[in-house]
This record gives sequence, C-alpha cells and structure tokens, in this order.
Amino acid sequence: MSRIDRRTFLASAGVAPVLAGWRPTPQPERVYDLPAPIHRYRKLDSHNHIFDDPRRVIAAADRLEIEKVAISVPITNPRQEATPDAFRASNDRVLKAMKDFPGRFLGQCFINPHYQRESLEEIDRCLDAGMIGLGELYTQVRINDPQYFPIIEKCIELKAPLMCHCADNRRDYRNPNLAGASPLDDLVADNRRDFRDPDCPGASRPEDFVEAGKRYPEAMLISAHIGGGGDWEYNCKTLRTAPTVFADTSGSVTDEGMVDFAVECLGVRRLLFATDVNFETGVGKLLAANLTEEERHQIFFDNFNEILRKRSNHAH
Amino acid sequence: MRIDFHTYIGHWPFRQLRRNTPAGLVEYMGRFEIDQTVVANINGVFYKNTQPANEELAEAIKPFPGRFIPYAVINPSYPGWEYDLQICQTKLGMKGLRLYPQYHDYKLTDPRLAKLLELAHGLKLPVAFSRWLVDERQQSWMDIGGQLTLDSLVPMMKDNPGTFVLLNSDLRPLKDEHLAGLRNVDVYIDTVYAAACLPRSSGFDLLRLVKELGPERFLFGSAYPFRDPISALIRLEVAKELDGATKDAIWSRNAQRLINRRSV
Repeated sequence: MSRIDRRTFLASAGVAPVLAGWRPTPQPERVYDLPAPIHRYRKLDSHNHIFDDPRRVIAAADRLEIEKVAISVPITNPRQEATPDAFRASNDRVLKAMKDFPGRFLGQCFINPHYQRESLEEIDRCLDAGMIGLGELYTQVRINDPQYFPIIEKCIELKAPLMCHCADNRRDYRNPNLAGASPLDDLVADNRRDFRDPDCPGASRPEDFVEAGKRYPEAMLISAHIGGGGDWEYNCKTLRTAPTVFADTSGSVTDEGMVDFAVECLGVRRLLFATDVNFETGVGKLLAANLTEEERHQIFFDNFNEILRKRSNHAH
Repeated sequence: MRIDFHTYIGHWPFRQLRRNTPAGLVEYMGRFEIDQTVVANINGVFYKNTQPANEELAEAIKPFPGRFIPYAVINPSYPGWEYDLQICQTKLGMKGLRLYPQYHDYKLTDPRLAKLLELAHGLKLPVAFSRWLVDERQQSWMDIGGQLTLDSLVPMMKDNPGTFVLLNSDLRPLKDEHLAGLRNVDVYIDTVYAAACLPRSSGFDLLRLVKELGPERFLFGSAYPFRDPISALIRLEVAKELDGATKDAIWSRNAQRLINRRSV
C-alpha cells in the first residue's frame, strides 16, 4: 500500500485550515498581577528530565502548578556511548520515578537508533510499562538518518510522540555544510560548551526535522526547545515548512518576542509548553507572549493533551 | 517600590527589539508597576566613539523625569574617554557606567580599564559588566561578543577599587574561590539568571546565594527589551523562602542605595 501523501494527510488532519487561520488580537492586561496568571492555566510540561532528584523536580513543578511533567534521562555526554545497557538503565530511572509519583510524571523512553533491534524492544518495554512516547532522543543519530526510520515507523504504529533534541551548532549559517564550530570560536575558546562541539555530528538540525516530517507526515515529531538549541528565528523559519512537526517552547533562552515569532511561523496548535528544567522561565515566556487566553490554554495544556489522547495515555 | 536595574534603549544589529525606546520602557514599567529603571543605550556597544550614544540617551529620557536612571557606556580603548566620563557625570546626569570589554576589545587586566575604574571610584560611579548581551547560541556570526567569566571578573574586582554590578550573571560555573572573592568585593548581582526552582541546573541558585552573600547584594533585573519581562518577575514570586524584607531589598532598597550614593 502506498504511503499517504503530505497534501492528503494535511487535508484529512485539518491542519491546512489552522495554518491559514485567523487569530484574534490578544488584549494584554493593563496591569499585570502575579501570581494570579500562574494559577489560571492548567499545565502539562512536555519536556523535562530527572537528572536531579525526582522529588526536587516535583517540588519545582508544584511551585508553578504544573500538573504533569514529561521526563526522560537522555545520555547527553558525547564521550559516553548510549549503549543498550545504558539506555535501559536511563529508562529504569524514569519508570521508578513514575511509580514513586503516580500521576505526576509522564515517562519518555530514551533510545539510541544506532542499536535498532534493542531500541525497538526497549520502546515496547517502556510503552507497555506506561510511558507516553520517546524523548529526549539526543545527538547520537540525526532524525533524518535512515537508522531512525524504523523507530519513527514504530511510533506511528503505537501513536506515540517522538521528541528529539534540536540543535544547530553552526552559528555561521552561511555555510550549510559547516559542522559544529564557528570561525569565531577562538574568541570564546575558554568557554567552549558541548553545544558547539564540532565532534557532535549527530545533532538534529531544524532542516532534519523538516525532512523527517515530510517523509512521515503522520508521525508526531516534536522538535525540542526552540529556546535552547540554537538561533530560534532560524529554527522557527525552517520549521514553518514542516506543517506536521511540533515544537516545544523550552530552553533557557527567554528572548522577548520568541514565542510570538514561533506562533507567527508555526501557529498555536504546533507549540507545546515545556520547561526542560528551566521552570520559572518556561512559564514566564508563555505568560509574556502576545496570546489570547484560549491560545495560552492551548499551548500550556491542550496541545500536548491532544497528543496524549491519540494513545489514550494519561490524557484528560 | 520597584526598580529594574537592567534595561536598554537602542538598536541591536542582529535582531529586532520591540519597545526599545524610553516610551516603550515606560509602557513596560506601567504594566508591571516598575517605578524606575536603570537604562543604557545599546548603540554605545557599536559606536567606536561611545559618547554620542550617551548623549542620545540623555536626550531621549528627558520627557520622562524621574523614571530613568541613566548609565553611560564608556570605551577606555578609544581616545578622550576621560573627558566623556566627566561630561557624562556632570552634564548628562549619568549615575553609573556599563562597560563592554567583549565588544570594545580589551582585557579585564588592561591598564586603561584600571585607570577608568579608579576614576569611576573617585566619582562614586558603580561600574557594570555584562556576562553577555545575548546567549551565544543566538549570536550572529558577525557578533564578536564572547562571555565574561567569573574566572576573570572576580580577580579584576579584587584588584581594583570600586563598586561593581554584574548583569546577565549566569554564574556557571560558580566555584568556591569565586564565592570567597565575591564576599570580599563591593559587588551587586542582578537576578536575570536567578532561579529558585531546581537551581542546580540554572547555575544561579538565588536562595543559596542570598544566604552566602547576603540579601544586600542582589538587584531585580529583567534585561528588557532583550528578554521577556514576566520570567524576571516569576523568579522573585516563586522564591517563597525569601522573606518580605529580603524581597524589598532586591526589588528596590539595594538599588536605591546605589542610585543615591553620590548624595550620601
């Protein structure tokens, strides 16, 4: 049977009218009075971690009244190989946290697509145990790499979302083939950090999500942290051309106007609230965005809830 | 009373900023009940001769008396800065300095900077440094601004007289020797990167640092219009462990002490 084409999918999924849709003009409050806006919205954090003690993550979520927190333990150190034993151990930590805090943590299964058979088995194990999908798949393999195809097809079959780290290490976007380090790195050599590591060729760029999204329009691919993986204007403008790919709003960057620009490029329905351990700013940047009440409810809660409903898994 | 110690007017060459004028800042202040902001002109980062940026700022804020505390951008690697500094203080009403060694291309050990710090100290002008203006992941390839680290800032503050302000102070990595150094210098830190929720990840553990350094060291800052204003407000809102007096100090009392130091 031939794969459904993108145009047919978009029409049947009702995405096209949303993209062409009209937005009402948001009316900002004349005087902003915290903490009332924190209480006003139900929140599902679609991207977070338990690198820290899970109890501290729950305590942080409680401060900001986040109902449920999607968690994973990706192997982020490029010097540590994400072997099957290592990713199973990561997922065991997540499963334990889910058991310790029932109803608060939504597990995301971490795998390394390079180990295809073991990854597919691990997805079954984790989703059977109650995890909601995959995440945060890291920089081991780029999302448009053929090694990813069986993983994405499995997620389609299971109606499970797949959230993957998105990072553009170049900074110098003039050369599309430039991997990693910027020519200006000598100016910041003392402060080099992993995200500009030239030995990190497995990091998925926004263009890679576009390619994967076009190949698999029926997949629920989530591009992680528009505020964390590189130039957010570049990211949003690139993802504009992938109408089935979602993006989460997390990352430590809180540039004024960032969420507004993401809405302009991607539309409200494709944006998911997330903190990625940056709790205050994760909530703050959405409260600060020029959104209507309805749009804020959608991003804070409804959009991710809709994804969870596809598997009837932890949805409301 | 609320004072935002960290705002800007002017243009950033690599990204459009909104409400980057005094009128725009007054709109922001009204919405979030901020009484005064400490402001500098970003244009001074890019002008070779920074003084016109300071003149622009002084002129631009004239229609809003009492709302802005202007800080001058001075470049000690460009001739005539000593004269500019005098004019900034005596004629333009500048209450402090913002320095950008990352952009004006001098090191923190540069003797010209030492001379500037000595003069500023004599004039009782606080001197502010910014770790960065934009997160380096967001930088254009044309943006030469690197990061200032505590490894270089702490020794500079120890070796020179004066009152210092650290803006955009993502404190990672914060070492014990940094903390010891910060205790022994007259330094204020803005809250732009502070966190009370899961602070180990953010680097700037507000609750711990208030205990370690004392509440008198911290200033509310938003980095508006570079950064969203509500994230700045939430940081203090959810820091339930800080009592009212500590929050008052961060909101305004510490800033008032700095602003009023010439008249003391």
